[in-house]
Amino acid sequence: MPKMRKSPKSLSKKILGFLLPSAIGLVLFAWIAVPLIMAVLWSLVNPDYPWSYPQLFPTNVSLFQWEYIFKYTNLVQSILNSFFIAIMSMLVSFLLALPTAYAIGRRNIKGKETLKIIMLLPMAFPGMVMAMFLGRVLFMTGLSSTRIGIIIGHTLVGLPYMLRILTVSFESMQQDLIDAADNLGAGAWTKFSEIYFPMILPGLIAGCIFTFITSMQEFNIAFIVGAPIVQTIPTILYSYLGVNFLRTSASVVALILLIPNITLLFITERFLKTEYMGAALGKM
Amino acid sequence: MMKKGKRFEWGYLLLIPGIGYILLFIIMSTYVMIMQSLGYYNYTGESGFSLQFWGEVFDQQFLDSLLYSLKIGIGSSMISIVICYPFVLILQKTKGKRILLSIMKTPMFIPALVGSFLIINIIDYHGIVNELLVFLRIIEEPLRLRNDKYGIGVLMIQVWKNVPFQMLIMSSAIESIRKDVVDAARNLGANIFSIIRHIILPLTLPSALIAVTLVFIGTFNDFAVSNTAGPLYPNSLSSLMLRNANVFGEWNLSACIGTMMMITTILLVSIYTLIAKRLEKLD
Repeated sequence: MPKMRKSPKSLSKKILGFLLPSAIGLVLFAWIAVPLIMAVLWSLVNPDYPWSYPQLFPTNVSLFQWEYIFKYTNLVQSILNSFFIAIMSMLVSFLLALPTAYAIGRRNIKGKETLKIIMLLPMAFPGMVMAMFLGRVLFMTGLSSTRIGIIIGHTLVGLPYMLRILTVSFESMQQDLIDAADNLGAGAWTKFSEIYFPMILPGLIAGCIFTFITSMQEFNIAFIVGAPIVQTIPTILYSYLGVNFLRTSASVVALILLIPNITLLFITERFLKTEYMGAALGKM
Repeated sequence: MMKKGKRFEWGYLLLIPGIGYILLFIIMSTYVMIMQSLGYYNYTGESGFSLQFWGEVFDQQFLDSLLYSLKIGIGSSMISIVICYPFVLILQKTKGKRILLSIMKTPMFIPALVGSFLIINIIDYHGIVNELLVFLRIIEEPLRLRNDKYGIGVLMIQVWKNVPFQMLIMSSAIESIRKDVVDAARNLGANIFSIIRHIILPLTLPSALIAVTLVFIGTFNDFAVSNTAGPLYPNSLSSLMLRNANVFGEWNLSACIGTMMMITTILLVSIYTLIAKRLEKLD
C-alpha cells in the first residue's frame, strides 16, 4: 500500500490539502457570491449619485430603490399572489400525491415502471409548450387570468417532485415494522399516524420544499395563464428585464425572489438527502 | 400475502389522484395542441382539418430558431460537463467536500430569470467581467456579451446554472465507484491519469449522459433566458412559438412548433430512461 511513500510527500500533501479547498472556495465565491454581491450593490444605488463607468463601487448607497419598488409598483400584491399560489399548490400536490405514492410504494400493483415514467411527464414537457396549451385548456374552462388557473398549472409542475420523493420514502420503509403493528392489532388510523407518517415525514418535508420552490420560481405558466390580471414575482421581474431594462428595479425584485428560496435551502439543507435529491433530479 | 388473489386490489383506486391528475392535464393539453396544429380549435374563423400549417411551418425563421436552440442546447450541456468533470474529481479529494457541495446546490435554487439577471449584470458592457478584462489588458475595449449575435451570454448563463446541477449528479456517480477497484489499479502501477481514463470515465459515463440529456432538455426548450439575454434574431424555439401565437395570431403554426418540441423532448427522455434502467441493472 502507499504507506511507505507517504513520509517524503507529507509536507507537499499538507500544503495541497490546504491549497485545494481554498482554491475551490475561491472559484465558488466567484461563481456564486460575485453575481449576488453585484445585484445587492445595484439595488442600493442612490439615484442622486449615479454609479457609472470608472467607479468600481457605488459612491453613495441608499434604500431608495427598495422604497420606490414597494411604493409605486404592485409588487406587494404579486408577492402575496406568489406565496398564496405556492402554498396552495404545495398543499394540493401533497393531498394528491399521498394516496398515489402510498399505492406505488407499498401496494402490490402492476406496471410500477410505467407509472414512474408517467410521473416524469410534466418535468419533461417543454415549459413554454405546456404553459401555452394548458393555458388554452384553462381558457376554455374560464380559468384563465385567475389564481386558481395558475394553482392548477403549478400543481401539475410540482406534483412530480412530491410524488417521486414520497414514493421513495414509502418504498424505503421496512415491512417488519408494519407487520409488527398489524400483529399488535393496530387499526388503519393508528398505523398511519404512528408508523407511516413519522417515517415519511423527512420525505414529505423535502417534497414540500421542492413543490413550493418550483411554484415560486415558475415563470412560463404564471406568465401565460396569469396575464393580464394576476402577476407573480417572476412575471414582475420579467417585465424589468425585457424592453424596459431597469437594472436597479430588477436587482430589487430578483433579490426579493431569492430570499424565500435561499432561506428555505439553508434551513432545510439537512432534509435534502441524496436520495431525495436523486428522486427529484429524475434518477429513481 | 394472504390478501393476494381474490380480493380486489384497491391500491389501483389510490392511483387516481396523483397519476390521474397528471394524465388528465397532459393529455388535454397535448390533444388541444395536436388538434390545433391540424387546424381545429381556432379562436377566430372556421375550424377544420388541414395540413397546410405543417407545410408552412418550415420557413427560414423556423430553421434559424431550430439551429439556435440546438446550438444553445448542445453547447451549454457540453461546456457544462467539460467544466464539471475536473471540478468534481478535484472535489473528491478535498476536505470540506460536504460543505462545498451544499454551497454548490445554491444555483439550483436560483430561478432561471434571477440567474439570467445576475449574470447579465456582471457580463454587461460595463459589468465587472468586462472591466476586469480591460483592467488586465486582455482586451482593448469591453465586449458585447449580452444580446450578442452568437448567444454567448445565454451560454454563459446556462453554464453558470447547470454546472452545479451536473456536479450533484456526477459527484454521486463518482462516490458510487468502489474503492477497491481504484486501489487495485493503483497497486498495479496505474497513475492518476490512467485511473481517470480507464476506470472513472467509463464507470461514470452513463451518469454523464443523463446529466447532459437533462441539461439539453432544459436549455433547448428554454424561453426566459434566451428572451432576456439572447440575440435579437434568431430567437429560441419557445419564443418563436409564443410570438407566432401572441403577436401574429398564428396559433396553428405555433401548435406545430410545440408538437415538434414535445416530440424531440419525449424522444430524448425515452433514451434517458433507457440509460437509467441499464444503470440500475449494472448496480
